[in-house]
Amino acid sequence: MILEMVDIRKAYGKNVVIPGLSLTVNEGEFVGVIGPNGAGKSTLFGVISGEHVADSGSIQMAGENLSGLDAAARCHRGVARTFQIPQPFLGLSVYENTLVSATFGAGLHGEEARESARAALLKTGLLTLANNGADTLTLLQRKRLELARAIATQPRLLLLDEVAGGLTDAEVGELLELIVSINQSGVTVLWIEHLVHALVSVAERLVVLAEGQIVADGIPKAVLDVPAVRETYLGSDLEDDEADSVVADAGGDDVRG
Amino acid sequence: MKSENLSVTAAAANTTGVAVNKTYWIKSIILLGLLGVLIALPWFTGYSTQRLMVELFTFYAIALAWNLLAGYGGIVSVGQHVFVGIGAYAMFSVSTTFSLNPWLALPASIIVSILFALIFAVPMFRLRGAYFAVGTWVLAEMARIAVLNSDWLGAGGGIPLTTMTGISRWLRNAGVYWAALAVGAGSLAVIWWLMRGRLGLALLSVRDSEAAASASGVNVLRTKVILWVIAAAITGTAGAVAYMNTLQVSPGATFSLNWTAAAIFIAVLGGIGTLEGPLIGVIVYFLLRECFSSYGSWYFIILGCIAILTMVLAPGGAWSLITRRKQIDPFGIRRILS
Ligand SMILES: Nc1ncnc2c1ncn2[C@@H]1O[C@H](COP(=O)(O)OP(=O)(O)OP(=O)(O)O)[C@@H](O)[C@H]1O
Ligand SMILES: [Mg+2]
Repeated sequence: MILEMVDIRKAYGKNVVIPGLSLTVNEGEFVGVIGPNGAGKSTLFGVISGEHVADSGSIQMAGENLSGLDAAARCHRGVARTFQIPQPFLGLSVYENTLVSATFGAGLHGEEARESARAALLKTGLLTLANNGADTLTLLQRKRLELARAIATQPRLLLLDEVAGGLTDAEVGELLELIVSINQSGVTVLWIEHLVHALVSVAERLVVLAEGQIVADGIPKAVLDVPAVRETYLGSDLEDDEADSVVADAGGDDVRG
Repeated sequence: MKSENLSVTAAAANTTGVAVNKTYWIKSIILLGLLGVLIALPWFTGYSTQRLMVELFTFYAIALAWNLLAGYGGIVSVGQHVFVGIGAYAMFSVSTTFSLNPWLALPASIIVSILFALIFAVPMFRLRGAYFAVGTWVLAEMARIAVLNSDWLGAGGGIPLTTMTGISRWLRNAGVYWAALAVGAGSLAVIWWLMRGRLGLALLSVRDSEAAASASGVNVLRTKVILWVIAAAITGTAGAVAYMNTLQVSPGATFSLNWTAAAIFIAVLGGIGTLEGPLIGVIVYFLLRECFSSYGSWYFIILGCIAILTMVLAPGGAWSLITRRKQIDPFGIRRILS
């Protein structure tokens, strides 16, 4: 078990976003996370990555208690995340952005760090822009840079927050291939994405979040069949036919939780 | 397609490699020449010029340190003069207590400043944003009052630098000038060296986004504390050298907000968050002072107006007016992937 959260609560002031959430993720799993806007998906990632401190509840990674560790310490233990709203280091070049991750996240030195930073750029197709300022990147390129930085920390647990939005079908295909290959190299992936089609084509498990609570959790096809999921999420985002085709894509029929 | 990219960048690397080498030599020669002229200055200038240069170098170092804090760490300190005072008092009291040559007592300024910076860091880094700024000012005030009431530090009268007696006037002026040159050039060299290394990379990332830096594994708090300590060491040493010529420290003058105000002005004018900014800022500051200081209070009003105009019209300072047109990196702290 790489991640174990029990009874996590998180509120911003009086706004209780996550009233009490428990989730366990096994090493090597590929978990898709969906849910309506404002469901608390990004907040959940913030709590896992250490950006936010949970008000209560416990969070463990590979048996180690993470509460009390800040984001940097969690990064050193293998948690990497992308920001939904990209936060590149605007004053640095694209390459320097990934070099930060390789140096401080992965703890590499010299040539090893440079090589790892370059490899992350190569994988995400940013190598040609390596020496350009990060401030010159478009939004889509910035999202790719988020991914590159996360990869360059050499994570065990990769948290992806809407990295596919705005991409063409071909680009989504490339991205899926990349993330699947990262997952197959042993990295556990949690991926928030509104592109349910894309997500269920690769995820082996789907978690649906609504109002900070897990309303369904299991094999994608089965989860998408749950009436509550259709109502709270798919109903608003997908037409019925589309929902059916998504379900057909997903395959499987086992629901947990 | 990917292998194509690789070979392209490899070819580019080769050509830039040669170019970098050539500019490196040109830069080195210019720098060494400039340094030689500056070292020789006491032999062909008078005392007043040397004293002006002492001020210029010490103000420069203090502004560079302030700029480093604000520009790279996002740490806005309005109490940096506390380290001017601590550095100067450390040197004066060590030198007079042990009858030590003042120049040999300068390392005490560095050590004591670092010690106090570490102690101050404990309460200060619990404060955020504006509270930190106010906190540093309160700290400086407290230090001033503590010194004012410490008989062993000369209380209100301060400490005279009695160990300077017996040193010829020329040698004293030249020696203080060289110390100031060492502080100015040395702090630039140290910061330049740091910026090119791991700490520099961490600082730049913290400057741009603390959340992303932390998520990338950068220990933000530790980076900031290291920065705070380095800034304190530079400010303290510069403070000590600044008071070598006046031969006297006193609580009111040495722990004066004027030091921090000047540092902020220089940094804002030249460009916060750049190594080049304070260099331009300090030159402009002294030009303005030489031209307008006879106008009394109008001089300060002019300074204030210029600072506000800079913040409104060119928030990046004078240096940004240059980099806006052309990306240049004279100090070579960018990391290029070849
Ligand atoms: N830093 C913050 N401070 C205060 N409130 C916040 C903060 N971040 C998020 N919220 C609030 O918490 C709720 C959940 O936000 P969150 O970003 O976690 O949702 P989400 O599921 O990621 O939504 P989306 O699909 O739009 O990204 C929202 O009501 C949002 O306004
Ligand atoms: Mg979100």
